[in-house]
Amino acid sequence: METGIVIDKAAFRERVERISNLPTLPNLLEKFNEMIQDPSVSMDTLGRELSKDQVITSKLLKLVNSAFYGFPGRISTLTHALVLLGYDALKGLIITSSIFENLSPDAYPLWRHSIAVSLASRTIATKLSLQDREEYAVAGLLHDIGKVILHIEAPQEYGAVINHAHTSGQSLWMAESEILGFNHATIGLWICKEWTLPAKLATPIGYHHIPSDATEHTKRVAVVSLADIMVRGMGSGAEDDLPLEPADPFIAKQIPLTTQLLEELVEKIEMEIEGVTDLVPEDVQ
Amino acid sequence: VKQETATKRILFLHEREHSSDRLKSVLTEKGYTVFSFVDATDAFTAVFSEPPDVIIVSTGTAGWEDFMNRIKKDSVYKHLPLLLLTKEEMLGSMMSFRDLSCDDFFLFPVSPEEILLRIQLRETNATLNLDANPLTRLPGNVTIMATIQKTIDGREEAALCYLDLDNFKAFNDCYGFARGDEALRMTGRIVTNVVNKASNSDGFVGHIGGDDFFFIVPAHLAKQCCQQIIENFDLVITTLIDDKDKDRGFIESKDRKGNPQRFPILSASIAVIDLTITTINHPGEASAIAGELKKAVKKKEGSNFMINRRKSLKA
Repeated sequence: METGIVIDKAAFRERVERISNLPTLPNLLEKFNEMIQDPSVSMDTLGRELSKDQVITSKLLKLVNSAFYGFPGRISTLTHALVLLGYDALKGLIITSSIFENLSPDAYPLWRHSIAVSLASRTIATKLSLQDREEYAVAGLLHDIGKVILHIEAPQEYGAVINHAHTSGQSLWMAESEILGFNHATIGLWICKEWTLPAKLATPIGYHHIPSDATEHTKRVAVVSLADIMVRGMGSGAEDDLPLEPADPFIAKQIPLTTQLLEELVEKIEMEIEGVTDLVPEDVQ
Repeated sequence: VKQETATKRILFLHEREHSSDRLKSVLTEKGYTVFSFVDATDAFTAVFSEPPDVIIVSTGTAGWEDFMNRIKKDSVYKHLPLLLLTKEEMLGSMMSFRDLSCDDFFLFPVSPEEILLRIQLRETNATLNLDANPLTRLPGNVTIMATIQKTIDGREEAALCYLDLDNFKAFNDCYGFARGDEALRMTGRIVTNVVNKASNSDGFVGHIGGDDFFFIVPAHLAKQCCQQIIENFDLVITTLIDDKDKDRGFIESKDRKGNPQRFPILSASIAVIDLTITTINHPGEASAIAGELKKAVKKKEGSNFMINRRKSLKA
């Protein structure tokens, strides 16, 4: 291969499955740390803030779905996780969380993108009067967790893959598939299985780029996939200026899309995103 | 329930030439009675006639292994803490500790003070392990009764709270025991988290058995805790209900005669005895009042709690 990048798929999967602690952005962690020290901050407020960080959210879900707590594959929202884990476990988890060191600047927009897709997924689910909207929001938040893992576990190779995507003018997941033989959605699926997260989260995470491959939770897959495409189209992609692939016709089969609905969604989602622009501060970029 | 002040009996099996005098004097001073034996058969007979609280076995005694294995294979006596006293040079020749059925060991020479500490540690662990509910790992009836007694005796301004699930049998029949166990684990976690947070880890949570739970909180926090527990319960329990049942708002199961019947979605009922209102002299009184309250609270639909307003059982 011209890029000269070789990652053994089986060995990399093993590495991914051994990951026990994903680091998060320093500013966010500092904020959470301050919040848990402050007794006047309620569990609800804390939960709302935490639900904007993909790494902390994924760790809480990992813990509550572990055999140790006894609810494998059951819990898919942060509120439920917090009720079952309790404040002490949450405190412990945040205090022992580590921060990203040597994170490539390419990864910063990933946090904004993840929050945006989370908000968009919730908005679409609400608009379609679907139940369990928080679950859609969580799936949206975590849909690119595979990219976080690639940034941490294979930073150099991943940097080269991103460059290749830019020079060859294709979507990042396609460049990943071409060079690595697997993509960040696949990695998301691996980690969900390893952490025994519920299928209603794992499926949208694993199939958000090829929704028609999903055999269950198809509505959830379609919503997250649509949210991802819309947010990227609105200029909040994790990697700016990479081309948008055409939407899978499968989405239209699951969701009755009309021009009017899309326009309403765009307006609503833009407003939602505007409300959280300060969450990942500019200075991390 | 044994009083804490009662003398603990220690059975000590050791070789003839080994003096147990100093160990005896230290343990006796701390309120233990030491019965020493040099013959394994005599010791075995003694275990069955007057069961001790702790057993110490020196590996220099003839027949010690057989003695230990017979105790540890007996379903009634195997929970007795059994400590081995051995010598470092014997460790290599002993079988692996995974196969040894002792609870702890110490190397000779050892100070009587260390033996005392290890005995106390084993006693605490044995009580906790035996009493704890295997599903929720919460303390069980022995600890619950002792805690209620202590709360009553200390005239604490506390509330005794009895929680159980409504229509749990129907839930189990409909979704199976594995999911029933999950519901119980969830209930245990929810109650523990609310009680710990509200009372700053000063409260108590126990699992009586089945779908019956018990907790103690400061009296002035009882209402707030019950509300929070019910809110959290109703929120989280939905994860255990199938989508189709959630949509139609009931589960389908069979009544006692085997006829299909509709049951409401699982809910929780809490009966609260506020000790600043109601005078209780005995744990049995508390459960009797709780039983009466439960009948009233269960007449209401969904999750509810009720605080006792009567001054005593008879009033």
